[in-house]
Amino acid sequence: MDSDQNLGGVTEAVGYDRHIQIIRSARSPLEILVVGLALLVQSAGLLRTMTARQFKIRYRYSILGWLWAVLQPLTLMALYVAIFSRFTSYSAERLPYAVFLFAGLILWAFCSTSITTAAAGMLNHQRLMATVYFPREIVPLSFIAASFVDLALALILLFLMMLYYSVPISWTAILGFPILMLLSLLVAAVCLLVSSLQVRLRDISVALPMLLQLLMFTTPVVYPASAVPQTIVNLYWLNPFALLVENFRQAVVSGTLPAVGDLLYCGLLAVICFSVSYLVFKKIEPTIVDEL
Amino acid sequence: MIDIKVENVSKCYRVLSNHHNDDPEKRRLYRIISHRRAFWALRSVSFDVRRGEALGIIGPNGSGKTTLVKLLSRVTAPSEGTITLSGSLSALIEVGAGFHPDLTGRENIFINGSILGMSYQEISRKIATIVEFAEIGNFLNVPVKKYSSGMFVRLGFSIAVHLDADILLFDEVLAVGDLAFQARCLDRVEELRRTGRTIVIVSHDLAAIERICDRALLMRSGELSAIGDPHAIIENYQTMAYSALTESSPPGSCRRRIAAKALTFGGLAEGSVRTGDPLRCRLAYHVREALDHVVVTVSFNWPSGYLCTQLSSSGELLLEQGFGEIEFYCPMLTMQRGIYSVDVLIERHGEVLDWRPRCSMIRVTPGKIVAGDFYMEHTCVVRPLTPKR
Repeated sequence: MDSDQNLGGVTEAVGYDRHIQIIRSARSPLEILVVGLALLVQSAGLLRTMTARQFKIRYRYSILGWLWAVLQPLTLMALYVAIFSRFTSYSAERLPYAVFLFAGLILWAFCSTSITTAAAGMLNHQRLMATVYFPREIVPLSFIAASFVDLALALILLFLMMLYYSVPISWTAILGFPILMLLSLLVAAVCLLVSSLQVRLRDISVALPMLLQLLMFTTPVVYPASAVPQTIVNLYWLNPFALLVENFRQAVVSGTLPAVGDLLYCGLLAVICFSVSYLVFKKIEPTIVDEL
Repeated sequence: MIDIKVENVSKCYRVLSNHHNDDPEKRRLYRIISHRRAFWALRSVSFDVRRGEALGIIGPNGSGKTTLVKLLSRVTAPSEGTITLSGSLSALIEVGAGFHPDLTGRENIFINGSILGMSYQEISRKIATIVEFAEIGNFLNVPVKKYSSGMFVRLGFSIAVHLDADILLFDEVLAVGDLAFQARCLDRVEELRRTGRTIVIVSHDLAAIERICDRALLMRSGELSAIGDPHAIIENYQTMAYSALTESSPPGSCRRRIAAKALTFGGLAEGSVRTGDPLRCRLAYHVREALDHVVVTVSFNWPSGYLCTQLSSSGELLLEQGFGEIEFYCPMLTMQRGIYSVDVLIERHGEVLDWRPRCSMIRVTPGKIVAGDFYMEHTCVVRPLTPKR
């Protein structure tokens, strides 16, 4: 059976070579989720092309090109090292502060770049969406994928730094990969939700920098988790971003095994959030063009 | 076999009720809580397109043509009704919509092609033909922002006409590029048709619709007004357009010394005008006081607005006071079938006494038909050259 699912469409088996698409307005949530994701998988080629496009556009005509992908977190790191290494009680930890900070900073840069560019991307691709149909979630997802490329480049730099500071690289670093996958899924959930709200509420793009700043300081990026006051520590660890950053750092830099319970909690939360956001996005997708 | 089946499709847009302040600052919060006014861009439209058929969609601006195309191309979803498509569909609604100015022609071909539904391999295979068709030659690796506007649209169009979709949708994009490129576009569309593609074209270029399409569909304020033979539908549309013009022409002032009252046309029979038949054109007038040296001109205009031909009272007329009629007689009408708008001009020594632009229209029905813009009276004889023995 040839299967194809489109905006408001349902596929039916047919006797001859061509598949039939039916375009109409109403559908059940489960149908949207299952068939929407199936079409997304089919459109992998388009996602790849769009990702390459976002990546190329970002650094085209800048002299340093993709070096900016590592220069940005590097500059931020230098700044934070200069400020925080004097004032915080960091000295208790056994990692060099620069390595500790950089491992967290590149994850945070990935989250923040993905979310801001994806939100703006919906508006930038308005004209394109008004003229051609393609699964609309490809727009925010392509921005996440482009930021992931930045992250991959920054990871190489992280390993170089670890060599420089003679921090031992343990086999547990491999576990950083599934953690990044969970983080990407979570970021995708946020991006889809922000993008769909963006269509009607432009306030989102104004509020985003502030919310992201908030996210950064409720996540152990610049300070060690041990600095969190005992009174709020339970609340603090409900934040999946905090858990993922902490576990990533432990696995990759400190060489300790991540907590399985933490990852299960994050994984479950990420899947639920993604499903809900995806549904919300798909629900408004048929009329996104009318609203933008 | 039916490729596109549109059943009772309606599209409703929500617009903010305009009884409130139009100031965007003041309606900020109101945006979220307001109940919006429904605007029906399409209402219960139903039609079928058969496999391999070319359907032209025509109609005045705001009649729902583009909404219909957007529904067919899935850019937006119908509010009611269903559309059933058999096979893949590619739509070209705006030329080069996905182009990014900073990326090169080659990069944009790959991006645009994959957005329009081509695979990477397919584009790699076709890129040479696409570039050749677009005539962008050695600009392939130059950012498209450096392109001339002609190159830009040619490239966009070229990608679209090399799609391998079963159904192709063109919205107002055939008239791109220079005349030579337009001709090649039409050729390419006809070639696509011969290979069995189903084609839907939205255009104001009625001549192109008539040339390419098997059937035409006339939209009128969101509803399907007529569907059928392109000739008949186009004439229907032109009648509609001209009746709107006649109504909107300003009424003449009553202080005129002479007023054109009515214009009637007749051929062999009253009211029937055919190519090749004689034509009588009568202009009823009213004169307040006797006038001499009057020149009356009746102009026939193409649908495009250009002058086709004129009738003129070559000698200067002497008109007595009161009502009367001026008759022009043509032994043979050579204008081709179609609808022409008619202007009437009455002058005296270069002074305009009455000027009625687009005051009437004439429908010429096919008589002696030869393709082209006008009929030329002709005969034909055979003169065999006896071979010498």
